[in-house]
Amino acid sequence: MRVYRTEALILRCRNYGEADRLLTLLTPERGKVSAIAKGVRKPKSRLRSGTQPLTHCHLVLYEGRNLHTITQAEALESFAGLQGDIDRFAHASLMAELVDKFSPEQGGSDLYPLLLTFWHLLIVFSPPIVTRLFELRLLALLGYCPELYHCIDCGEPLDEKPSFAEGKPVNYSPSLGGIIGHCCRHRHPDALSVAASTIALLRHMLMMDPRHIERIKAGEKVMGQVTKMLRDTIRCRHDGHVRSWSVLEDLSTGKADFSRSKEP
Amino acid sequence: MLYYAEPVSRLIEELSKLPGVGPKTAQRLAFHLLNVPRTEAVALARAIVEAHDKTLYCSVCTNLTDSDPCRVCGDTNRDRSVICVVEEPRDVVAVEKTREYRGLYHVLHGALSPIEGVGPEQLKISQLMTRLGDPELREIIVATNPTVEGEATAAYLARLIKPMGIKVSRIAHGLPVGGDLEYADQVTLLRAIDGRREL
Repeated sequence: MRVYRTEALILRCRNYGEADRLLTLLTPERGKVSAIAKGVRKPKSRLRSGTQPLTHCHLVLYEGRNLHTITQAEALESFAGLQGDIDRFAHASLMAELVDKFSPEQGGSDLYPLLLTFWHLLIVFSPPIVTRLFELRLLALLGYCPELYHCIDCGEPLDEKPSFAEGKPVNYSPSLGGIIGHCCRHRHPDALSVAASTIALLRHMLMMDPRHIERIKAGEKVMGQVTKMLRDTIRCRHDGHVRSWSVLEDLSTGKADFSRSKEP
Repeated sequence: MLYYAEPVSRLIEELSKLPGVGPKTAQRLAFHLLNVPRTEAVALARAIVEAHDKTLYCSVCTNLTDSDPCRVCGDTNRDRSVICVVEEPRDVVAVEKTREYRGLYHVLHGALSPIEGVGPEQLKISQLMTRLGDPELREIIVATNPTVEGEATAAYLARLIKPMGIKVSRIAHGLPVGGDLEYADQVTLLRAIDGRREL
């Protein structure tokens, strides 16, 4: 069928030509789709509100040879709560960027419920922790779930080690995507050293119901380790540069710079 | 094999770099330029070079200008208590055409878009922050586009500027003049109701 209706999450928009826009969509049936919204930048266009980035919408598309053309668009949820807050907006963009990068064309439809759920969670809960949970679940769905129970090198269970039970730090290898026991530590000098409580938190985050995310209480050090572990794992699974990360870093440092400049 | 004489193919190649111009259009434009009198072609070439050489960014508002400060910033008759913040130089022209606004401008040259790698550092926000020290300044009007990126930029600016005791306002959203209520989408209509005013 050349004309079809679908729900979609809009991951990305780029202006194209005089008044058109190229969109990257994530749909539940067809996965990632590239589509063009013609004339959408003209003030009279009726596609405008339904084709904004970071929205959940209902679309009617016409399947062309290369691109799909959007003929009707209606916003189901425009996530106004994400646009009004730059931190939430940047985190939502990061999620969209990761989904875009990890989904092949026509693929990634299984990531649809994940992204939709987490955009909703992001409106309510603290952005960094929601994003960490998203990154972990994303890796798990893609088949790159970090191994947290056994040494990734020799397969020995971590919980049986007395050092782990005592709460001593563990090693984690982002390139292999799992923890390294003391037995194999000498073979992986580049592995990160992380606290046993970080591993416990990650195990909990894999199992928990995302709606109870506010119950996670973690110190700055543990969150810092979780962030580094997940980011490095993602970097090892994907070569390209994740632009939203640099903007998020800019945002946290940039704020300080601007506040300094306003003082006389 | 070279289909055209070398200078012609070079002209076609250069023209096809323009936005929205494909190889066929470039070819048509090139032959048109070869057919017009030499004076016209020279005038076009000169206009391009001059536009490039004589325009610069205003050191105050970062708008495109041929003199620094630009005509708006240098005009003593303008209201210095308001700055209208826009995304692109084209937007300054759009606001000027209303002939209602008499304040100053600030051009950001884009809007925040983390997915495209555009953060606060890439926009002209630090230049705006230095202008806030002016004791005459009372209000900042944020006139970024009513898109997701524009809204996020507006929210970010409000968060930066409000603590300094300067009024920050956002241009209204709603129905276009001559529009039709029944054809308006829900989001626009919702914003229009939110921003209603007393008659």
